[in-house]
Amino acid sequence: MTIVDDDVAIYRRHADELTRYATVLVGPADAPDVVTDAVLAAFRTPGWRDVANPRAYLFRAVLHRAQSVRRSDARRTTRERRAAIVEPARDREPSVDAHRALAALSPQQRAVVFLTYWEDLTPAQVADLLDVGEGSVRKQLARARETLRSVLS
Amino acid sequence: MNDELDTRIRAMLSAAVQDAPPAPALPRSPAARPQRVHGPRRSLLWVGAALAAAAAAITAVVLVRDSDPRVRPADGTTTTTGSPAATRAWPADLTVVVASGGGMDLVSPSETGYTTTHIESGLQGDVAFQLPGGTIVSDEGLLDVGADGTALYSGEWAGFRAVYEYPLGGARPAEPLMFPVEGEPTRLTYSADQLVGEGTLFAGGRTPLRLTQDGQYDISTFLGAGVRPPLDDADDAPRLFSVSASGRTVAWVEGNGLVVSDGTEPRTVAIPDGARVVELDLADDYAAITRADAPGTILDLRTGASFPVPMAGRVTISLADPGDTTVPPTAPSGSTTTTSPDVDVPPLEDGFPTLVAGAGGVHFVTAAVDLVWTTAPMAAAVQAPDGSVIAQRATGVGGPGLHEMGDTVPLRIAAYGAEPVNLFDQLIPAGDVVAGWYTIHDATTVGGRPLLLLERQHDQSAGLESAQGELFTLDLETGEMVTVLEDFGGWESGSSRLHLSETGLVVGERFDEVVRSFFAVALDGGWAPTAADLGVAASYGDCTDCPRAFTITRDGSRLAWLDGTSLHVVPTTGGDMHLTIDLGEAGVGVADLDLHGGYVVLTYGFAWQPEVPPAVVIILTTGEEYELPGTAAVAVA
Repeated sequence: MTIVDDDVAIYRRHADELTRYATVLVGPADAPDVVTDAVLAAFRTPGWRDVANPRAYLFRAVLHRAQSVRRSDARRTTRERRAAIVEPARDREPSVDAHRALAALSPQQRAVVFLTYWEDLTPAQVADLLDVGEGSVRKQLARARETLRSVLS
Repeated sequence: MNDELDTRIRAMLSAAVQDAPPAPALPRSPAARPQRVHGPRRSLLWVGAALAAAAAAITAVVLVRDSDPRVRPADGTTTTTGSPAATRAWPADLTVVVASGGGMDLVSPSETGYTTTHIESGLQGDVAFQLPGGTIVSDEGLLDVGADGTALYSGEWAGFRAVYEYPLGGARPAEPLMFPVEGEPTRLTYSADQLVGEGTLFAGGRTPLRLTQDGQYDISTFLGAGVRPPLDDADDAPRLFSVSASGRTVAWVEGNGLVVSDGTEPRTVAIPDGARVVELDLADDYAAITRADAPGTILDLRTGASFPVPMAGRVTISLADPGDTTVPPTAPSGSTTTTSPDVDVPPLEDGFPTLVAGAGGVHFVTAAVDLVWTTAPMAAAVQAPDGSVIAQRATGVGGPGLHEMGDTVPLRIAAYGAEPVNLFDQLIPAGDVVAGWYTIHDATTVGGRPLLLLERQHDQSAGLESAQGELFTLDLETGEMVTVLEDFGGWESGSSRLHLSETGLVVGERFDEVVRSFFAVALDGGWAPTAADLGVAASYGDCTDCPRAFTITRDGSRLAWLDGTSLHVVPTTGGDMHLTIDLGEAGVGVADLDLHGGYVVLTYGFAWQPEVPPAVVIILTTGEEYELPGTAAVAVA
């Protein structure tokens, strides 16, 4: 696969927000891999050149990748083991409580929460970005709020 | 929204986002990495010939990924260029294979220097090897191939990078090669008596690796030459540790030199521009150097002479004899049964392409994309050979009942578009639609004809006990309808979703009240497997864990079914192979099973009601499970 300049430019434009998004979805340790895998897979897709909204496409790709990462139990266990073996240099301690709270949500719910509260998108805008129905977004958001209400109390 | 909960959620997100690492850098495009080539649609084929130590020609193995149904296949062509007037000499006893975005090139000696032969298609991954006998092989993740047909593949194991060793076309073992180092193997080369490569250490840095075929780990060759792990990534640090196919020569790149150990005192052969060397392949007396963004070089290890490779790309040294005829990667016709009695799980196709219908419409899904064909709720959808989608708002699969949930006339979406389609072509003209219902089962090309397997049930006007339906094929090009079975289905009888193979076999399950049985029929009236061939009973009473969900792969090579939560896979034409994989909870309540490549698609119902769980994809080699955005799903070949 050859990455062309246009692809690099698109990625640079959205890299930071995709990484923040992925951090909310899968945590800081796996966010870079999720972003890289999702973006490269998107570039590899034959229809990529015809995508009208690359930003939305990449957000969806990151979410799909995050969902598959979450479902792989063996890999989650190994991530914990990896973190014990190689501790990345940090200037501050990770916010365990925040990630623990997010862990109570499904990846789809985390995506909806992030896009609603961090990106300040309306349910219609979230639906458009994730290519799901607006009703589905509202439902996911309501469920996420209920869960977070008890987790954050 | 401005209440206290919103404030807490924002604070939580703020804390989480502060942990976000820097955005990762995308990998540089390696020069030798080819564009993905879409060849003709093929299936995984097992090696038909026995792999003996003095192997005869080995059938080429091509592992195909074609995840975009809109891409039309391109025919592979082989062209032979005339031998140019040699401006440089070329070793008289050396042929190399160069893999790049343009395909593959063979460079072989000739009277005027060298001859190049270009092979347009068939490259999978970024490297190709020529085996003894002349066959060229390539595959995603393939690291090296031995003269005995043993291959080394990169992969993952429990989240770590790993290398697997197994015969070309064979089954990936459950466990990879193990090395007694605290790290991961990243690159490995194969010889008859040892494996040589390198890995990264968890504590940082790199190390050479060397494992003898009798399991001894020994890097004294490298230590004795002054290589001291952990190695850093400086341009002049030792790297690309490799071994020749016979095991006689071990070498690695160090700065602008190639350090060679072949039973004599290690010596250094000069490599021009050593910093740009990205790969190394060894023969006993030659080294093939691959460079980033530039043609490679052949080094004669005896004399130090160098020979420029005429084109850029990943260079490997052919294992074929000079008299062997080059066999480009092709797919032999028909299917062959494996000679190996071991479990054989084909590698995963790229992204498990799947078509799924449900309340959210029809989606084409892989691991990375979700393309929406239509947002109109559909109960079932299949992909036709021409890439169009055929769907139903309701379906009659499983007998009466479901068809009452909506119109069952098959609808066609000609092509995927930038916007989802919500107006359709009716596949059967209005005047020909019967009073009753339809069930679309499957679609594929059989004997060169694009066929839809379709069931039609008439209103029960002739009496409740009589079958009122037919199973037929509809030629999607000509419109010809050919009856497969008359008196099919009827009151309290029917079938599961039936599967149609390219070999013209229809496989599924039939039921008559509570009695269920394996069902198979050949479109041409010829041979079809029976329950006895599968080793299952001729029929079963009403039970939830009896053998069920019978299916056949698209290429017709394998039959599969569920028994309890276990997936069973056998070759269609018999043989010793019998694969059993426990799907766990995912195997409960399955209404339809689709097996393709290294994954299975499980459907739990054909009505998009809230109580019907979403369909899932399970990767057979890893057990990873993916939930699909719909309820009724099929694999896309």
